[in-house]
Amino acid sequence: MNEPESLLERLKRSVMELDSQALRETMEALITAGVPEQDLRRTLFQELERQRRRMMSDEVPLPRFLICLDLIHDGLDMISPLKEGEAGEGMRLVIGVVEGDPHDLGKNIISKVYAASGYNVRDLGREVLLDSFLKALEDHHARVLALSAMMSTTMSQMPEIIRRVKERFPSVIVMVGGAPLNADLARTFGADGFADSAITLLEETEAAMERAGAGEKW
Amino acid sequence: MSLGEALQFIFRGRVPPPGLIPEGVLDRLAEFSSFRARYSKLSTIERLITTFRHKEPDHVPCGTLLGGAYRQLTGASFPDFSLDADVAIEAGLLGVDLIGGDVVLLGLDLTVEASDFGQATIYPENSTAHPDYSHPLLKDWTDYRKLKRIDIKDAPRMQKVIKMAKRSVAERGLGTAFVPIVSSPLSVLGMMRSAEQLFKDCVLHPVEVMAAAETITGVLIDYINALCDTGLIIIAPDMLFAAKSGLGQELWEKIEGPWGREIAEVIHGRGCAVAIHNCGDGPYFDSLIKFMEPEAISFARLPEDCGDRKELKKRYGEQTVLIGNVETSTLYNGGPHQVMEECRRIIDDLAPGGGFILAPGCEYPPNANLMNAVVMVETARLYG
Repeated sequence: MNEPESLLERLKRSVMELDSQALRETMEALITAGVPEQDLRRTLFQELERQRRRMMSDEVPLPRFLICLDLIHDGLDMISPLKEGEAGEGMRLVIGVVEGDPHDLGKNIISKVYAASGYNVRDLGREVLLDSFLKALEDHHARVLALSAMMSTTMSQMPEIIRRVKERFPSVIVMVGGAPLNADLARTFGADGFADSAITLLEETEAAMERAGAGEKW
Repeated sequence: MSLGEALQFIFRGRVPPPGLIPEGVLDRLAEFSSFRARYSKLSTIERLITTFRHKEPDHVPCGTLLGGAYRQLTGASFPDFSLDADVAIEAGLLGVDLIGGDVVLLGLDLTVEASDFGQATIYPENSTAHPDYSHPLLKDWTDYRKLKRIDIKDAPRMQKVIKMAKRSVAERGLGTAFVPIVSSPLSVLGMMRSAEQLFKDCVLHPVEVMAAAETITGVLIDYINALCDTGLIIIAPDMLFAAKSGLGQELWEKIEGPWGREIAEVIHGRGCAVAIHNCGDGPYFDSLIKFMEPEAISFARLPEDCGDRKELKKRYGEQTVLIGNVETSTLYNGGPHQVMEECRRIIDDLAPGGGFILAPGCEYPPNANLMNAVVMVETARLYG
C-alpha cells in the first residue's frame, strides 16, 4: 500500500483534491522511503503541467488552479532547492510588476507557473523600479525577464524598461503580459514575446527563446 | 406609467425610466424611430430606445467609456478627479460637449465602494487610484464575517458619485445617457482582500465569502437606489469575476450569481436598464443572462462559447444589447486611422439588426490621446 509508486499516485491525488494535509503527509512518507528528490520534483512538475492543461480545457477554474500552485510549492519547499549549476537547474528568470502598478495576481500566477515548471525564478514583487530589474538581472545571471502591467497608465513604462534592459543585457529575452496588452503592442514595445495567460505562458516563452536562438525577428 | 406621468418626467428635464413604460409603447416608439431614422437624425434617447428594442437607429450609438481620461480636458490631476466631485463633474460635462457620445460613463475610479468600507486607497499623481494592497482591510478569511454594513449617507466617495449623477442628469440628462459603474460584491471584496486571496477563499471558505458578499450587496442596493433617484436610466454593475479569468462558471453561479440577481432585480424594479460591464477574458454571457437578465452587456473579450464576433451576435444578439469592444491597445497606441478601421470592423460584425453600441472593451485608457475617442464617436456617426 505504501510502496513509493502508490505514494507518488497519492501525491498526485492530493494536489488534484486540494488536500494540503495529505500532500504534506505523503511527501514526508516519500522522503522517509528514500525516494530521490528528483523523482519527487518531477512528479510535482508533471502534476502542475496536468492541472495547467486541464485549466486550458476549462476542467479546472482559476481559483482551484491557484490553490494547486500553492500546494505544489509547499511540496517543493519540503525538498532541497537545486543549487546553482546543479544538473536539472532551470533557466534563470526575473519577474516583476512595473513601478506604480499594485496588481500582482497575474504576476503571482505566472511566477509560480514558471517556478513550478522548473525555471529558477527571482520574483521582485510589484511596483518594481527599473534599477531593481537591472540589478536583479545582473545578480541572478538571468536569461529571461518577465514584465507585468495591469493598467494602461503603468504599461507605458514598458518600452523604456525594455530598451534599458536590452542596452545592458542584449541576450536577455523579455516576455510581457497584462490585461491592457496584446501581441502587437508587446512587439511595438520591443519585447521578445507575449503571453496572455498561464495557459500559453510556457509555449510562448519557449517560442520566444527559439526565435532569439535562431536570430529571427518576432 | 401613463403618458401624463411620462410627460411629467420630460417636463422636469428627465427621461422616464424605460422599464416603467409599457413594452408595447416602447416597441411602437422604437419602430417609429427606426422608420424616421431613414429620413432624419434621431436624438440620443430615440437612438438608445431603438437600439435597446433591437431595431436599427440612424447610426449605432457610441459609448466612449471615458472616465479618468476626461481630466485631460481641464488639466485636473488624477487625485483631484478622484476626490473632488466638482472637478470630475466639470471635466465630464466638458467632455460631453467636446467629445460627445450617446452613453457616458459616470465615475471617479474603481475604488469608490471599497474605500467607503474603509479600505486604504492610494491616489497616485500620474495614475488611477487603487487599493493599498499592503494594508488590506480583510487580512484573513476570518475577517469576512467582521465586515460591517455602512450607511451610504456616511460614505463620502459614493456620495460624490451621487452628486455627479445629480448634476449631470440635471444639466445634460435629456441629451445623454449617463451610466455609473457599480462594483459587484466580489469586486469590492477583491479590493479589500486581494483578488488572489479572494479566489482561493471562494473555494476554501465559500460560506464566509458569501456572508461578506451579502453585507456588501445590501450597501450596493442602497447606493443603486440613490443613483436611480437622481434620474439615471441605466446602471452598469461591473461583474468582472463572471469570466474564465475570474472565478470559473460554476463557482461564480454559486458565490456571486445570487447577489447579482438581487442587484439586477432592484435596478429593474426602479424601471432602469441593467448594462453589465465585464472586461474579463471569456465572460460567461449565459450565466450573466440567466441570473441578471441584463438589457445590455459591455464586453472586451469574446465569451468562451463564441469563436468570433459574428457568432456572438448570432448567439446572444437577440437576448441582450452588445456593447464593445474596441481594444484598449488600439485606443492607447493606435492612430486615428487604426481606431477608425477597428471601429468599422466591429460595426460590420455587430451592428446589423440593431442592438449594438460601439464602445471600448474596457474603460478608455486614462492617459490615451482623446483624439481616438473623437474618432470612435465620429466613426459611429458616419459609418454606423
